[in-house]
Amino acid sequence: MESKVATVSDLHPGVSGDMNFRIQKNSLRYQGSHILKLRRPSRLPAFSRRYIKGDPLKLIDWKVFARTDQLLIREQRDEASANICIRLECTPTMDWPDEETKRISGQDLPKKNEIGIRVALNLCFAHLGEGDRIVFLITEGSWRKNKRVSFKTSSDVLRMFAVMEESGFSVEELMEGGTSWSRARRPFDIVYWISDGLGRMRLEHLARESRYVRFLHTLSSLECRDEWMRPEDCLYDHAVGKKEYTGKILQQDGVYLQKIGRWRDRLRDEMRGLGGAYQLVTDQTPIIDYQDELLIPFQEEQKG
Amino acid sequence: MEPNFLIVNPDWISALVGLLALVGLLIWWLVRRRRIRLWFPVLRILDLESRFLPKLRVVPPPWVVFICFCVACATLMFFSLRPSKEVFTPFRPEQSRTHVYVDRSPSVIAVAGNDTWMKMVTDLYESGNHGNRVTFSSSSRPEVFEAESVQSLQKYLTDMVVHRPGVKLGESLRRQMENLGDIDRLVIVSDADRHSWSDFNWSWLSEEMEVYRLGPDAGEPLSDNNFYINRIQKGSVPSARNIDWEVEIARSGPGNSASGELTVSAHGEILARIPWQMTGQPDRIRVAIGWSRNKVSRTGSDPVVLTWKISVDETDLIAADNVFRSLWRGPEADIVMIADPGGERFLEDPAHHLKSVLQVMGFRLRRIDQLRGHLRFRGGAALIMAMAGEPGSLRDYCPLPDPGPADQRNGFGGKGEAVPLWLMPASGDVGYEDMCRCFSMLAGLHPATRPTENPDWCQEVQTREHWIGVLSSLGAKPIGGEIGDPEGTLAWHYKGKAGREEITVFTIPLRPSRRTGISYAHLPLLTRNLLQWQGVYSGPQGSRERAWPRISDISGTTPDMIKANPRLVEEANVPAGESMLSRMEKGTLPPLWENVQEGEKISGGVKKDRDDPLPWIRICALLVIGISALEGLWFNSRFLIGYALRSRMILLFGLLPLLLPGEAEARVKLNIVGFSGNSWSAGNLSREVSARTSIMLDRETSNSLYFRDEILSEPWVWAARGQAVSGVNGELRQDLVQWIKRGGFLVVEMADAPGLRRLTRRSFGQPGERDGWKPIPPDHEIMRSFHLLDSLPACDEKLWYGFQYDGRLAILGIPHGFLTALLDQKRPDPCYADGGYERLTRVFINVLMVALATDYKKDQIHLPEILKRLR
Repeated sequence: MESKVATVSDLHPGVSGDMNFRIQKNSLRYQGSHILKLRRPSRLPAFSRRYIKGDPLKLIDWKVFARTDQLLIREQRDEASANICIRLECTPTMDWPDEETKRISGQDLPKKNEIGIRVALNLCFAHLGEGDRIVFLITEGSWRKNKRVSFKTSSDVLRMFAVMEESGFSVEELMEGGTSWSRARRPFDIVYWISDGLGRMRLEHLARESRYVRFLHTLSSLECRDEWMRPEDCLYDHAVGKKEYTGKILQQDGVYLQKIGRWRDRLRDEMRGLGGAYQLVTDQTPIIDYQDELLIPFQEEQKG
Repeated sequence: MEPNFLIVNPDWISALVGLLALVGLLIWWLVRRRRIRLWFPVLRILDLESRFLPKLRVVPPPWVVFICFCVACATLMFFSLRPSKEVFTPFRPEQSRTHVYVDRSPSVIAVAGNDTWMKMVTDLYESGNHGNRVTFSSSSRPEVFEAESVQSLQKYLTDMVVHRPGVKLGESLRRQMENLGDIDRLVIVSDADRHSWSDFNWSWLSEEMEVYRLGPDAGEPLSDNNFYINRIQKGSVPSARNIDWEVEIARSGPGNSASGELTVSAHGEILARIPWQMTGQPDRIRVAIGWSRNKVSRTGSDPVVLTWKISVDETDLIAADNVFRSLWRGPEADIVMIADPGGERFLEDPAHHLKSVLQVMGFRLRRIDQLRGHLRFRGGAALIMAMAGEPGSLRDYCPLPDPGPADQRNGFGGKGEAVPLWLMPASGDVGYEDMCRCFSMLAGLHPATRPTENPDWCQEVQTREHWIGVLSSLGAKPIGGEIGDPEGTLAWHYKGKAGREEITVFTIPLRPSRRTGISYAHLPLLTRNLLQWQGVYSGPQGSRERAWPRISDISGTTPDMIKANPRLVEEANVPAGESMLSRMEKGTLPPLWENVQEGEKISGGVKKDRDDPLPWIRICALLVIGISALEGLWFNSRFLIGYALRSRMILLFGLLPLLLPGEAEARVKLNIVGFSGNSWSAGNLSREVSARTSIMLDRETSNSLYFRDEILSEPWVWAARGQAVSGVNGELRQDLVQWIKRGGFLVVEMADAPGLRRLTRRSFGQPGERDGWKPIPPDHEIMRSFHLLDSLPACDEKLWYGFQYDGRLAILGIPHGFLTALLDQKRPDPCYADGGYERLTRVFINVLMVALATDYKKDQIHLPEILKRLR
């Protein structure tokens, strides 16, 4: 029996048991901030982590090092609720792939909206479970005009997810009951930007809201591949200039994949330049990879 | 009648068909690229240049169906196109077309009244319109008119005007023939006027159509006269003050006496009026008429149109020829003549004859007897003639220039341009020295310091020879005479360096003289030629007055001519032939329509050689339907079973001839036995049989010298002689007897009666009542099986015999060698050596029909056709 790897297209908000956001909150980025208070080291595993270059040497548990040759840091923190902002950009380009494209590709793939909603609700559920304060914003056009969907408890997220599943992950259904949101009174601790990068939202806008931005680049798996394109079919987009190409042209010498790769690299570089993180999420991304990459602290990614 | 709303302008239909065909062609070639379009939004951020994919593409169509489409379009276009000109030929071939050409010349109306002609044409229409098509045109209206009813015809005839006189029926019809189309019968409504019918070879038309004439019989005398102005000419008596003319008034007809008045007018003003009277004989008179020169003033260079008109007190058939127009260009220019008259009598005047000639030519002459001083006159002159007199009379004739102001000393005439001078001796005995001196002064050769002295070269000039020598040495050019013979010259022409002094010096006097050889008849011609050479006289006198045209055939006048000079064409003089009303002789004109039998008028012409268009139209319609069906099949198949249709279409076309029903035909071979030689072929015979009947006779014959069993499988056998088909006992072979009993047909040549009887002596048992050998009677089926024959070819009084068996002709005995005259390798029997190929062919075809179908014409179904052909 062929085993199927669970992908993001099957992501459920509850699938976040293993997520430990303390890793992020304990990262160096927050050391010295009002969240992290280092008093004395604790030997509890919950307060231990691997040594990262630059950590104070006094926090190293030398006994463990003598015993296992591994550098462990013993921290002690006070837990505090973080301000989390989850931005889901629901532009028309997120309503893709359409039915014709799915028919041509021969795969019943979820739209990018569905992927984004799944990821957003997953993040909401996880952070609410951690006791954080979240602001779930849905951006349609301008980044200043947003709709906020409030979740007080994790069960609200699950109910919303059920509604979404029933409505086929309709954005309109998601935004129903939402309130207007202009701007935060103080910067967020973390901003998750869930978008395909084709809208009007710019990274510099997000950088003003938080020092730490994680761009969850939500693409359809069709946008990351070209083998589904048929040579005679016309692929077009008339939003910026009138571009019409046959599949044959896009496939020729892998030009499309090259262009897509460069685009992603450019976004990643821009995120790094702004002190954020970039993560690609498609419907074919395994959940475990998604969660693993999500849990990689910022600095590790920066180092890696 | 067909409702009007169903009639659609064919031009619009053609345009619509053409447009649809064009769109169809584009659709055939330009195919929208069937491409699935997918929205791919990520393209907007990719670094790719903007570009459009073509929406259409040129795709070669499947050729077979495309050609079918083109043929269908062409056929539809053919059906929808309007003919470039209306065709009046009846659509149904059994109908005939009669065209009536109506001559509307004044002579026609003069012979019979207008109402008479209208009634004749109306009766013609009613007699020939029984299911046929009758069209009309006339000499005045070349457009073809088809009358729908008698009323419309009467209106057409009433509106038909009488055109100007002068029409040639042949030329007029020739110009109309291009628009008339196919005609079975042409009826020309005209009188027997010779002028109209001249140059018309109507017999040539009778090869293509029946030609008739409707009108009074030729040769019938006219009851009334026609008076007309035949010609005018200027009077021969010179007159300085008057313009004199002679008008010839002519008459045609029985010759009644008549009188009237002749008037001449110009610019609407009557110049002269004179009565005239004509008695019984002769049939033309000359009337002299004149008027003062001062009455007519000419403006500019335009000639004056003189309108001559006669009024007739008696009955006049044609009024148009009572008016005659001529052009008069006015008098000629002025000529100054300086000549001493020499006495009171005109015989003593050396310039008398020259003066008369100049006046008759129309010049206005100013005579100066003696100059006595410088020449001065008002107004311009075209020429100065100075006639030298006796010695010492230099000042009397030499026109020295006026010593006036410098700007007025140009030439001899004072002001204006230089005037040429003719210096001529008055007689043979004149002062040549004075002439030389005058010439020198006029030519500017005289020394300026001594203007009145006699120059050196003139002092010794005493004779004509001296004078000629001096002229030659002074650079003058000889005129007349022989080359190399100066003394034979008529004159010498000198032109000064400035070109102003132009002097012609004559060496002999210009007067009739036996010594000079100038006769009275020669002088006017010589003077006219000299004046023409000098550029003073423009043309002969007669042509100036006859410049107004007589157009003998108005059908030749083109719109350009009318546009260029409408008055000249519209008011052209009536041609004399029209006015003379001369009649054609009997027998030279087409037969009269009145003589045509009533039945023939209704049945229409028999010379219709046009094909029935209906089969062609049906073929075209079937073609369109078939091609459209194939198109539809292809179109549907394209979507139902895909594009792989080309091979199927080609296969379908390949099978089409097999599917179409072929024309029924019977193929038969000529089986000959006993003919010497092995190379007998029946090519010509096969062609004749195939062309006349539905039987295909093989070109190659089945030839064997001796009898073969294979022959028994054929329906008929042609034996060269009885021995070829008989056994040793002279009787027919037994197997052949059985073959004949089964239905075979045997022809035996070179067989006489005893030999034939011997063939069937015991083989066929007891003959029936009608069986046995009998001569071929005239009513035998061989005489009428296909061709109707009156007799069979006979020679040496030998008969054709036929052996009747079982009620049919089983064996045919021909007494001569028959077939060899018809085969390609002709070896005719001496009986048929003198030809008769057609007759032999007919007999052969009849024999063939009897051999294959026996007496099939006994069937009742053939009886009506046989009776019809027998009639």
